[in-house]
Amino acid sequence: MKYKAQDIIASGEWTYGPAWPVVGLDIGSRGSKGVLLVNDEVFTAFIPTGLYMQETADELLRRLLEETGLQRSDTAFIVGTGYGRISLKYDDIPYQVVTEISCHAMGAHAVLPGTRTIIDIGGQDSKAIKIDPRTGKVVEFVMNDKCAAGTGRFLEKAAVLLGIELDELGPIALESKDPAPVSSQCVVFAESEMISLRARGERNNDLEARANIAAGVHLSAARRVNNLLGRIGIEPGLAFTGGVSNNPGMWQVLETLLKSKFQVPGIDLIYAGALGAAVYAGRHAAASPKIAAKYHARPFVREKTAAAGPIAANASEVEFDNSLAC
Amino acid sequence: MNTPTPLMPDSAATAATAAATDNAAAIATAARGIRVDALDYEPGVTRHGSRHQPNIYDAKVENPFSQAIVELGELARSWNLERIEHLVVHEGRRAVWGGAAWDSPLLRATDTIPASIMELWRKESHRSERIAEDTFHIPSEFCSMIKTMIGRWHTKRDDPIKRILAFSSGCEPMSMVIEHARNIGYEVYTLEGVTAFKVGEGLENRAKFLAAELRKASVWLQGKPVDEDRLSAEIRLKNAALKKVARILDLRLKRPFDIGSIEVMWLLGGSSGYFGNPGKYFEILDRLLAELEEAAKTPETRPSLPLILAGGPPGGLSFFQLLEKADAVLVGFVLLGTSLYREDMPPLESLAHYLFESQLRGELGEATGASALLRRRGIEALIEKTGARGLISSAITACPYASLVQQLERNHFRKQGFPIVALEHTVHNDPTTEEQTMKIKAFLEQLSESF
Repeated sequence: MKYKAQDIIASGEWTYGPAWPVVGLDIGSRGSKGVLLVNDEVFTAFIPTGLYMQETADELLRRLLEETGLQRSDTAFIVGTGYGRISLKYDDIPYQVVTEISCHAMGAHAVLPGTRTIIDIGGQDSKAIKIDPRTGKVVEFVMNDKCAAGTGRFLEKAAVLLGIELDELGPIALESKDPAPVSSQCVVFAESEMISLRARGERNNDLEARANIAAGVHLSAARRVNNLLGRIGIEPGLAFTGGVSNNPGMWQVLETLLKSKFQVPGIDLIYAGALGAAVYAGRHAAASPKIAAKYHARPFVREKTAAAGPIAANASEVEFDNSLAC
Repeated sequence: MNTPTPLMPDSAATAATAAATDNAAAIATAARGIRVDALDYEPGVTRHGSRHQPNIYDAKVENPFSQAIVELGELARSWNLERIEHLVVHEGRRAVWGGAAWDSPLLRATDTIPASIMELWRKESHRSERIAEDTFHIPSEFCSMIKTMIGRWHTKRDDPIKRILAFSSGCEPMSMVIEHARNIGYEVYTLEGVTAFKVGEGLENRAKFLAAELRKASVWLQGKPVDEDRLSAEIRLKNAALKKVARILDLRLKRPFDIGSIEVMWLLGGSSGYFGNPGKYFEILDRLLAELEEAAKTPETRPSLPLILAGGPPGGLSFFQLLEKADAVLVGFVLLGTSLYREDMPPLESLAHYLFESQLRGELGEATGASALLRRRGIEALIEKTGARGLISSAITACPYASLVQQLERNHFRKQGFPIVALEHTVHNDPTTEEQTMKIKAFLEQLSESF
């Protein structure tokens, strides 16, 4: 998708637009996100993460360049982040890797400048991050370790068990009037509980039982995240990033548990990590006399003017390249 | 070319060849299957692609600042369990498990070699852990230190070191392991645990009590009470080593890249038992000190990121490599300090006072009853002294004591506005996990000026 930077920033002026195209690639455990920044334009792309991280990253870059009408050689700098960042390597483009903790902080700060506390729930981990609202730098963070509780994987497992798609899980949970008790925060034990709950469900209220189980699962995952957040404390200016941030069920249950509202961004915050990476890429590019000399010698030219509006309405509509599948 | 002389008759050779072929086939078949008991890292053996790394005491220094550092590494590598067992078996020396920390002067004064508890996971830690899980049904989620101890003592129950000097402490699983060791044939002597968190009235009585305990332990160690003159000499020797190490650490603040963080761990670790060779250890200290005094006249201008490590380091080398790549330098170590023993009192009471003061500073860990709450005092003193900009609070995964310490430290230093990261790890010599790597790198990014 293409955005005008001023349209996605909640307040203040957009000060991150680099003079040359820069790219942030967030190679997550389940989905990979890319953001290309140039001047006041922001381009995004999303694909499922494949088996080979470099191929996934290359495909993201190809889509971003195709969308913008730029050449690969026009890319001034790439910052890679996310679970797959360590696999990234470019011989023809300057690049750097930065942790997703720093990138999510910067990405959230870029579009929601008042952000002080971030909850980032990804496919395989969740994090609570405190940031300095003046700079977007991380002040403190905690993350869950070696446990799928409170992560996207927990929800994915639940969706499979309920026989629904992952993106249906949140909306179905919102239909619940009486969340089922899923007391365990361990995925494996919670799965056993869900099997018992499903077995108890009556035929004539199957949908209601399903909604209640889905809501119970969200509540269980949210409690885990709440515990995590409790270790660093909440400060007003709350943002929800990562793949699970577009799950309306988790959004709602977290707001209830935390007794706080999340800020509403002008861009899907599954792109927060990639956006933050792109902001860092812009800074690296700006700090490099070599890159400046390159673009003064040969300014980049777009082959076409990118049309405003989405190339796909949402992530699930992006054509999945089967060659990248696990 | 000479024809080699046959070592066995033809028929025997044929049978041997057939047996060898069978063996080769069996090995080939086994190689295709899943190995359930893969070998752990052997010092000196590099296996490319292996997830095992050398223990920090088996590491080698790249581009050392001084030949003295190279020799320190050689000394550290040479002093290991195999060496101690060799001395026991072939030279009739006496050795016990434990006694390699605050109580080391007592061990040296009784001609007893202390085998550090850390030797239990220097090698074969994964195998030991599997034994604890498979044979003793300890859950896999449990503390790797405890599992490794129980597994390794189990496999070494018929080996030369059959005695354990234990300190009754607040770690209940540790007491369980020692009790188990007693049941499988180890001879255990437990020093009655004493703490001195309430300074003042009663302190002298507690010191006298612990001194009496230590005297009884010396009888257990050598069959007669320790020669107190000799113990005083050992305390003075250790103080001399600690003063030199402390001076090296001070000079290192001006020259942070000359001596790496692992090498500092060697210096601190060696200050208790001198890696079995006090002459060589002191010679290295003196050379290093002289070289650093000279180098420190020109302080380093390259910026560094000074950090404090509270708790033990993660096993393996990649933790240190991550820090070095970011020009981060460990300048303060809370677990191993350089505090001095008092020389103005009887030596056994001096040992007792040293322990109490360490407990109050939170040094030496829970095995000696260190205070979880008061460890922050030691950290604050180190921050003030070194100008450290961040704290790595390190704990072994699933250790309830350490996780409590981490939480207390996080709350305290957050209020102070001092950056802290809580890191969990195992005792294995493994590369840092992706989660650990991300935590460390994110913390370094958090502290870096360029982010």
